[in-house]
Amino acid sequence: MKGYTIFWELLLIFSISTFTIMSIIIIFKGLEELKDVFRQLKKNLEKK
Amino acid sequence: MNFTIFDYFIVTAYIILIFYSGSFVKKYVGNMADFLVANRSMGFHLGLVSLLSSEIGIITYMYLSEAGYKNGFVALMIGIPFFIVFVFLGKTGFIVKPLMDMKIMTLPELFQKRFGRGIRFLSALLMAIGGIINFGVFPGIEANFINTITGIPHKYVFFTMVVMLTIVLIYTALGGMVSVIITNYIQFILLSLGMVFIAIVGVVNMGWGNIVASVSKNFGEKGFNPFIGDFGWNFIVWQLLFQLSVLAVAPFITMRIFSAKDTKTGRKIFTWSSIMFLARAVIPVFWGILALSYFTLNPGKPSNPMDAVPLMILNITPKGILGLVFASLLAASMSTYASYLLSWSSVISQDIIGVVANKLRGGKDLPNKTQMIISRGTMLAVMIFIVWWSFFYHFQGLVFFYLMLSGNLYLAGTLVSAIGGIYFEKKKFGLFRARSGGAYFAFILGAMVVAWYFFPQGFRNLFPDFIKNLYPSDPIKSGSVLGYWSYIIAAGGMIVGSFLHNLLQPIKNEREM
Repeated sequence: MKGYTIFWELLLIFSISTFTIMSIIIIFKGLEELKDVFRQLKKNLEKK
Repeated sequence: MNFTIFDYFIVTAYIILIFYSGSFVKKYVGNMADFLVANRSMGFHLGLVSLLSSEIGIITYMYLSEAGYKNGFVALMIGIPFFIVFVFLGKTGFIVKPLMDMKIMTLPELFQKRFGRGIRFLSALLMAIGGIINFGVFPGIEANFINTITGIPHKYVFFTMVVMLTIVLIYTALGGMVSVIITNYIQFILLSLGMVFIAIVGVVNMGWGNIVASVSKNFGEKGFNPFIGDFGWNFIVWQLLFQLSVLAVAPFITMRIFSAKDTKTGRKIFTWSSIMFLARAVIPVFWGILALSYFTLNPGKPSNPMDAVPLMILNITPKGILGLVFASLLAASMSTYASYLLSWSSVISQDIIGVVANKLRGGKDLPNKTQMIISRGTMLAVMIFIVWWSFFYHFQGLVFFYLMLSGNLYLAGTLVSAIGGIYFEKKKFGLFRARSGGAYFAFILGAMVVAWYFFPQGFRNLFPDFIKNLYPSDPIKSGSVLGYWSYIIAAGGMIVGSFLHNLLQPIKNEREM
């Protein structure tokens, strides 16, 4: 049972820490891409 | 009431922000392609945000935390198949690469190309039935959650849900995928904060040693060792197949991936989603374990297990932060509703109504404007249905199994037919070349296996013994077995059906395909 407990503990640490780090990265980089989507749609609208 | 004025202010400000963003993007939406896939202009990070936001809602927290609360650490197994399948799809491009290269909007379009209009119609019909009865339990479960957290009396919960769903309907209908992308972004910030916050506050509050001791006290070794309970090999085999079909062919996922700006970006989103989706399952399951621990250490264990997590959140969240945490949970839900509404209404409007209209109009598609009106009308109809179903349906067993198996009604046939249509459609396969006969068998047989789970006991008793003997004696406890058999039977149906079709009606020239 102890082996399983260590496995679940490591799984939790890995999941929570990677989720936190990746969330921070994608929030900042996602903002740049959001601006690009709007630039593209605005361009399309102007063409029409 | 559990909220302070500050909490109400935060929640109201959030709803106004979401509504404003939906109406703001309306002017950018020109045609059906803009409406559905945002002109395929979504980059990697935004794609990941969008996929996660739409796949995390209060319902996700509830069914996953229920599994943790009722089973202990073993329920963390739920996250592992997600991880494996995402890495597999991202690295190999299996199914998803050819789909993205073809630039199709919905999977039934592929079926029409490969197997004809009948299969497009049947696949869309099963998708709509399975998808909507799956979606149909969301409002009821979430109403329960909102009721517990806010302290709003039960008699007003129905009203609260209708208000929330109406807001979602308005902003989704106004901006389509573009508004979903922008609201998803705002919502992701909140939901990622909320998820990690609750997990950390929970551990700090209870202590890791107490959490382990609580699971041990309630379940013994069964709470730790996945191979002696409901989460063993049957579960793993079924979930690997199930997640493969969800992630490769389910419309609410493929719509996200098809919005990526190119195939490479789409595959990259898949690969990196593996880590995020592992956490998406693991963190809410852990909330359930935290709730179990909380009510082992403290009095007031709720009689309804679904109340355990909201009650724990209410008790461990510091005063003044509850509104923010609640807005984060609400945020998660709104994007899920928007995404599912958009997916199911586009399946109904394009692949069911659109196919029938095309036939009636002698091969001509409906005008763009009419398609938009039908799509919005369908959203409203879906919304009314899910509110009704939520209050009508009564659960047996874990919500997790209900949700997975309702998806399985169409996913087994869809996965098998997609593999057949993409990889086995060439002449060289001879009598085993994938044909529409095989696709009909795959869809119908795959759905028949899991439909048994949803029949009331009285209805099951009406069937003759030889049919009853084909199924497990207790389908509610055998969800995993029904799940993986639906794939085996659907695959068998595809092989036998295609063989018979090729034998009885061989293809004389390639134009027949």
